[in-house]
Amino acid sequence: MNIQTSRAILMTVVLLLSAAPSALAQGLPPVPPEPKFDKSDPVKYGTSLAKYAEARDAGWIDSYSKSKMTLTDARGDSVTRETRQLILEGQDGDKSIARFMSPAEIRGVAALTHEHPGGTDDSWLYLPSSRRVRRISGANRTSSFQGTEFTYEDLSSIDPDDYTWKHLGDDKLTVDGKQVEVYKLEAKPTYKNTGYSKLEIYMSKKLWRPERTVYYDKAGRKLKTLTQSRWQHIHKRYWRATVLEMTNHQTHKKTVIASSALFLNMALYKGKNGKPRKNLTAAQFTRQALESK
Amino acid sequence: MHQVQNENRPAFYRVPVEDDVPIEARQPTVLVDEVLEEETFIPAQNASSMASQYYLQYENGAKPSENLASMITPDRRSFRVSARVDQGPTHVLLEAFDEIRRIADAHFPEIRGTPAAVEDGSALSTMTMTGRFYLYMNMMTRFVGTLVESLSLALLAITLLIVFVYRSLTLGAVSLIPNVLPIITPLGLMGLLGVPLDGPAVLVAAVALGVCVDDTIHFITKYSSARKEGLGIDAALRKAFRLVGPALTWTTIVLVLGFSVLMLSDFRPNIVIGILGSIMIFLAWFADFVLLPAVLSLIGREST
Repeated sequence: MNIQTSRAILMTVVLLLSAAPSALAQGLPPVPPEPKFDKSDPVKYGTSLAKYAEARDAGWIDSYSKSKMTLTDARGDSVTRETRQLILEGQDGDKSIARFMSPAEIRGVAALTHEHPGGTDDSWLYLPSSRRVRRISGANRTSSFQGTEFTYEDLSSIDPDDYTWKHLGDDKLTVDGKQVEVYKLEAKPTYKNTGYSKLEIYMSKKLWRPERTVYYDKAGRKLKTLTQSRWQHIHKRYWRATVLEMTNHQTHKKTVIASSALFLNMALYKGKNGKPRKNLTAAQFTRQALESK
Repeated sequence: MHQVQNENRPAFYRVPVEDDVPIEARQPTVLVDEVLEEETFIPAQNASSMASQYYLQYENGAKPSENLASMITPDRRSFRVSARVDQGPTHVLLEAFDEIRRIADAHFPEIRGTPAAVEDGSALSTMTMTGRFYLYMNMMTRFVGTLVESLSLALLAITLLIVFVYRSLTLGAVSLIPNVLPIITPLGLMGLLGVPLDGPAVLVAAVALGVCVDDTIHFITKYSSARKEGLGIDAALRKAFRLVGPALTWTTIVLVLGFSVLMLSDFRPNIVIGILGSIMIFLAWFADFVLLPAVLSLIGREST
């Protein structure tokens, strides 16, 4: 081995090591390297972009957030609800609990969802006034989540295998006051229980986050637009938008979800006793766990 | 919702009441934040929070066509019930509106607070009735009510003026007959026959009153000045007839013909105006040509 080769190897090793030191140190999976994308076929290109974006976002283990949802109707009247959300990442589908904290008359209402990608999700709802957990029909993912403009379908994670993708082109968007270069992707759901004929996803090139998503109804008309902003780079590894705004162009109603706290991977945070917190477990995402004591 | 939550038992097809809330839920309970380990209280539950939570459950999973946004506001503090009403006479509709208020008082007394009481918290809610038709009906009642008031006032003013101008109480009193009768008689007949009295009738009464008073004053002026010249009653009457008779007759014919044309209309209010107008103006002519001279001569003979 000559000097040049060993130098090259050394450089590569150093580069690789410096590329993801913090992630490795904290136990987070490293960012998968960008593959070389085959740009010749828009379908293949789009699919590979989507799959890579998904792969990049995997491994956050669990999530905790405090949010304020503001529902605005066509007249401009609005109502605000505060929620707390817990999500457990899972290979065969995420589990999530959304608990309402305000207004006071709905505090304690909790919705539990077990996602089953490719099938129907299981949902349960707990009402503190009746102290009962009821199963909610999971078949209707197209229905609204708690009266917001987000449907259950919108809130569940996008599995690239459930859609046919196509790369439509490249574009520029203004996000958080800055110009961002984006891929414009078209995603057509392949599953039956959908409210949309297609989605247009504007995914930023450098950061691989869906900045904007436009939803088209079954008739092909523009139905809703989701804008994600005020991004936070959690643990310098995962991007999460702390403001989600869904506008329905047909009903002129709007829902804004603004998060005031957003944590990923609880083990990376320290608890009150100074020791690292424990990650959430599946036991915390069961019917029994919904009921308040 | 309540019924479905209770094994679909028909007895639960009603609004939740305090007893529906399980005893354990009637006290505040502790809710622990799984991650931050903070404690918050879930407040004591009651029928009202149960209803709120039912509505949240309903909203959750409702299709866009199922949402109640057209009936309830987002903050859920206002609720609207719409009803369709058949057209009908005012008094029947007003009775229907009163019935609605009676039902509300009997079955939902909590919603019948005054707006002021709701403001300061002593009442739960207030009920307001509105809608274009409802407001129109209320307007109509006021309309006809004020007709009687204003006609009376107008007649009083006119009579007083006649007394003042002709310096004769008798003349004033006598003038009431040809002024009042042409207006009151048709309206009274309408009432007897059960024909609804509404906007057009009020309108015509006002117009016809003007014409009647017009005719009367013309006649009385000529009669009065003839009497002042020293003519006897019969001579004065004859002079008055000669001077204003043809004019009065011609204006009556023209006006009656004009108003009659309206009877050919397809629009009911116009037909009413046409019929009423013709009748009132004809009666005015009749009162001034037949009744007035008769009364004047009778009174005149008595005073001499």
